[in-house]
Amino acid sequence: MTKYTTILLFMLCWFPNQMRAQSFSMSEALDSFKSANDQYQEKEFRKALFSYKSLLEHGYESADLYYNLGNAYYKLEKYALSIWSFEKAIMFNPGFEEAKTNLELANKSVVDKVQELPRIVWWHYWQRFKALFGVKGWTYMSVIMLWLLAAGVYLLLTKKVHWQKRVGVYLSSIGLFMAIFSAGVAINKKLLLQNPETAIIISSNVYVKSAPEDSSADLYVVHSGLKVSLTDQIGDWLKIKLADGKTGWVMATEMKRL
Amino acid sequence: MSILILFLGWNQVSAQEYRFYVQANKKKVSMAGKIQLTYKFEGGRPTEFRPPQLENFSFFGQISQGQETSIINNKVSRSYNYQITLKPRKVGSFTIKPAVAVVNGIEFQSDEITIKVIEKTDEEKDIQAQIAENLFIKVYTSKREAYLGEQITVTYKLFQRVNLSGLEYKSMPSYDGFWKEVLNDRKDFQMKEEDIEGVRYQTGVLESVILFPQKVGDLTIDPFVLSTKVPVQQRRGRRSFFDDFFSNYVTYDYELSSPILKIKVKPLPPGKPSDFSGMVGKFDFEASLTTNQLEINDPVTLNISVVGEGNLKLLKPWSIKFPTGIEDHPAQTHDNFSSKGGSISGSRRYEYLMVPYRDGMFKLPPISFSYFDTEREEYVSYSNSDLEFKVGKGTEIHEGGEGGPSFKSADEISVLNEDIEYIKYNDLNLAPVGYSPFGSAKHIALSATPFALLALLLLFYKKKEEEEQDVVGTKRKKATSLAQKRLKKAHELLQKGDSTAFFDEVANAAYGYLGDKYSISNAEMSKEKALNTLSENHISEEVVTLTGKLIDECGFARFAPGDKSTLMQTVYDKAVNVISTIEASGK
Repeated sequence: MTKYTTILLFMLCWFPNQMRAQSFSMSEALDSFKSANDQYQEKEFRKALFSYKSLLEHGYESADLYYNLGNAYYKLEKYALSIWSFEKAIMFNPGFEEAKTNLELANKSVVDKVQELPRIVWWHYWQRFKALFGVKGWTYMSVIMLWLLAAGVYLLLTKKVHWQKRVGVYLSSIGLFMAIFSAGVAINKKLLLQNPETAIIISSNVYVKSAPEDSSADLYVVHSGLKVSLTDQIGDWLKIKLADGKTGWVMATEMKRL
Repeated sequence: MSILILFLGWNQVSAQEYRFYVQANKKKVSMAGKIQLTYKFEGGRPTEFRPPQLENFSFFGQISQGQETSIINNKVSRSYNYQITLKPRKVGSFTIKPAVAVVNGIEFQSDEITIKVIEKTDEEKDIQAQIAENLFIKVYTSKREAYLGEQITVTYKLFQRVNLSGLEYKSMPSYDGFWKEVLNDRKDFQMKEEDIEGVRYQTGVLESVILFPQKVGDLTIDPFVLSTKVPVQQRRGRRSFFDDFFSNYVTYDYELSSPILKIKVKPLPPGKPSDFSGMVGKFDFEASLTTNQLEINDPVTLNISVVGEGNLKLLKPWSIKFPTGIEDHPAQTHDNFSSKGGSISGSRRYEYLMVPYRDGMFKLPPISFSYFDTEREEYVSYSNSDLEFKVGKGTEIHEGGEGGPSFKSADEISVLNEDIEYIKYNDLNLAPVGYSPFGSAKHIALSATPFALLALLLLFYKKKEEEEQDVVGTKRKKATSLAQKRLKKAHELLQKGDSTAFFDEVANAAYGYLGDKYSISNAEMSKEKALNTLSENHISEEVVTLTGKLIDECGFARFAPGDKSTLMQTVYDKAVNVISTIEASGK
């Protein structure tokens, strides 16, 4: 019995330890988040922006923080950075309606209008389906499915009546399949967050090069606020791809990865 | 007068009959004079002629073209001539670079020519000075320094005291960097007599404009240039008695140009109001409604008028967001400008006709106007925010009307301004950077829990099942002991070997047991009744048959011959088995 107790204690200790890596505690961070919001309310947008950014530097983030940061950038007319922040907020919380509204407004400042390449309908459905929940949602989903699986296995093994066994088989197979599926989506989204494949152009206008070197030909010009996909990296150069399929090389300093 | 013709060689390129050469009307020219060059091309018709690049001369007039046919020794030669007139710019000896003619796509170069330019002779200087005194253009400007958009009046005036023959406009100012409003131009040119400090001049306004600077900096207005022919009395070295008699006039080509005008344009000072649209001058502003009490479908007009002096013509109509429930019409512009006294003043009025189709109070957004006052050197703002009117329901039924009341379909909520959604203020969330709910301790714990729980539950289930099996065992044991108790007497009789009493006792015990268990009275008891009762109580067929056999055997055994000890033992075991089985079944 003592063995289990130690494991339990170890788990309890491990969880808060993971958070203490930050330079100030969660409650301090929340307090400074609130005071930054107060600065925003007093229309001290520059101060509020500074506070939001310092929270990020101290190792805290959330959809809410990115959303408020985006608002502060917007008020200071730094539209490209506000687009970046709103996109980030939506990545953390795909159901963030306010962030979507604000992103739409901020995107009005983007001068480049890129015609999106047509895709098959299923791709759109799949994207919309994946966007139903964030990493958290899909993780919860997989946990719920694991519980379902366990319940099904229990019914299958202990019940002697035929229909109860049948329910057990159904529950456990659905649970198993959905748990693996949801975990897959969650891992996919987690990896995307950690290693983003998209970026927002920050410089006001950028010449997109044909090769990762300064002397190569200028292919076309993009302007601040445009969202691009990243497909490759050589040194400081990133290969970008626009929604219409155009590709080219841009210095990493010209953009901000999501 | 002798004309010196210079032949300066053949063109080398045209080996056959092509010749392209230049001739000058003189090889020496004074700074005050002009020289005429004729480029001649023989043997073809040039499709293009490019005059030489000039450094020390400037073109005077345009290129004139001509053809010339000559017959020498029965040979017809035709040449195409291009004549240009040049004015020297510097004193010295200069070579004029070749001109180019294109024939059938081939470029031909003419030869070069050297011209000597000498100083003006004293006589020429004298003549020019004399003309300049009596023929000049003056420029008048209201300001030499102005703010961006401030109006400036510029007038070019010709003064003359000599007889002119012909006046040619050579170049006119282009006023780059200004928006101009013409007051007087060539069409209005009129000469009149004017006394300037006791000297009588013929004067005429060449051009008069009002300029509004459009860019900041030192702006230069190119001069007004006229060319004319002035009759000049030829003077000889020696004065003779006949001079006045036979005064010898020659016409002298004279070019007169106005001074170059420089205007310094200052940027507007900082602190522009947000509604500032570039109006500079001095203005009055008024915004008013024709009425503030009306009925549905009655018109009401919003008048916005700006009165004053300045770049009023550049004013643009206000774009007003009318409240919903009003049918609005585009603005009508009414102008009343005059340019008396050399400056533009007047008024511009915008009329916005509105027809409300809903009743209630209507409030127009504040209408503001601001301009830069050049006298006070500061921005002035006006605003009118109390533009309200009340609309009554009116007579909704039109007498004998065809349409009846005009209803508009419901309006969409009109968007006054677009702004971002407010920041998130309550229920804030934060997480350490890089923290992912997937793979977190909580996730792992929550995922592991169901399986731990499952394992526990399965263990519990197994133990309970085992215990259940134990219960069956003890029941059986109890049932057996009960059966043995019931058959105690029979057992004693078995030991004694009393077979008759034994079989009776076994049957009795069986009946007694079943009677007690299923509440059957002794009177009712029979073999059929007992077996039926067992069947009714879901005792298995096998046991029922066994019970029947046992009772039958007990009946037959009494009369069976031979040794009965083994039979007794079998019947006893069977009885114990039947009773304990029935008892253990619990039914």
